[in-house]
Amino acid sequence: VTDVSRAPGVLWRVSSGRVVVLPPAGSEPLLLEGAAALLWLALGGSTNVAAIVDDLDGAIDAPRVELEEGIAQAVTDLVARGVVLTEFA
Amino acid sequence: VSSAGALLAAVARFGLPGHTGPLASRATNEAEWSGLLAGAHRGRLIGLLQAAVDGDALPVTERQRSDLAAVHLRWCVTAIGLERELLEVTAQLGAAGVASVVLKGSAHAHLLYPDPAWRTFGDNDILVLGGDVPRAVDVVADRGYERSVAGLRPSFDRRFGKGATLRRDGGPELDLHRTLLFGTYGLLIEPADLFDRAIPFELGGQPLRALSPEDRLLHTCIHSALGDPEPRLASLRDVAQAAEARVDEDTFLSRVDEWRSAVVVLRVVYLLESVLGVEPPRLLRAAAERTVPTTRDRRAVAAYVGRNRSFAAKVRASLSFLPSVRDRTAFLLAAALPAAPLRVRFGGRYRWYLRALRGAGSDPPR
Repeated sequence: VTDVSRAPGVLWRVSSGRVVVLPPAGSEPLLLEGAAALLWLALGGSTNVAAIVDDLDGAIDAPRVELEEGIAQAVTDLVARGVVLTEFA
Repeated sequence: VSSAGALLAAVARFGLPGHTGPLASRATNEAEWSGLLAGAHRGRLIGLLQAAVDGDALPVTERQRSDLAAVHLRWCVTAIGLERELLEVTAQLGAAGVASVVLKGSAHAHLLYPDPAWRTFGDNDILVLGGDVPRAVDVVADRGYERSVAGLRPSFDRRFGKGATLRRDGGPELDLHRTLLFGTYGLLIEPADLFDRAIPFELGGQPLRALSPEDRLLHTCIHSALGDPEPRLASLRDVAQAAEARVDEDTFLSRVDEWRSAVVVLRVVYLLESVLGVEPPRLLRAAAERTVPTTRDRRAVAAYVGRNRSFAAKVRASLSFLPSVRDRTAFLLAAALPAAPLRVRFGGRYRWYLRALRGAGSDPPR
């Protein structure tokens, strides 16, 4: 199981269904929209990818397999941008 | 009050208990909308306007929704940029041994509002101890900040001044406060006590400190009642939010007495009712009832929001609140005799200060 969390030092706001995120290093904010914004908000409660998929199943109109792939890909992308941390539990 | 003004006040109330219903029955026309958007932008109410639209309390056209979303997003980007700066500045101050407490902006957004995106702000305010003001100015100078207005004397900065306002490359202000405001009601506050009572809060995973709930509520009252001659809806909303937080009533009432600010709360009670249009919280009514304003109180409040709000007027009004002849003399000397570099820099202004000194001396101390 991989634990997922927002990176320490990240700053963010929700604006009209979108999430603007300022990475801990760097001054260029990221704008998360649609499923990516929902994923970000789910990170406040869920601690691993499987739980996030459970949370978002139904909120995002996609087959579960696609949802799992999409979330895993988004998490990888957010990790690369320094705003999310993953850790093998 | 114009219909645009009434709608803006309704936006400023949105989300408070008893104020969650519809603000309008139909989308405003384009002219009204432009006025509302501009007023909300100027009045730092864009976050609340966005909340009202998100909550379906204010019908809008698709174009109006899109305009608002773009403006709100810019304010959010500004807020998190300021918060990054706040984290770096407070860390740098801490490394230099300067303790700090966050005032207003980010602290209010995270501690008072249901969602920090409701509270937009455009600068950072940090409280430091009086003796630390010069060192704090030096520390932030390393980040490129310069004082917007030269200080008076170092002794004035340490003991009587509000603090220092700094800017970097024409960017947002950084206010390093020694106390919560200049003049009478600032002099009645013991800043070291604010530090002793400060509470922790977390921003971006970093520990910061903010005023205690009681100090914060009274600070919001002072700021909204005395900060601007034209009361600001956003400041009054801060009061309403701060009163919603868990505040110890006895502690708050004794703080009102200690800071001799019942007359300030009395003005806030009036403004909450007449400008924001909300029922003033019972606690604030109780605090306001503890005073019958005297001429001295009226003079002190007028120095902030009356026609003559000059530095000299504030100095004059403050004198009778200082406890001893020694304090009054030290205050007058520090305020009236600028340090040598200021005399050179501002030339003729020195004479103005001399006039202030004469005017101040004519007031009978009580």
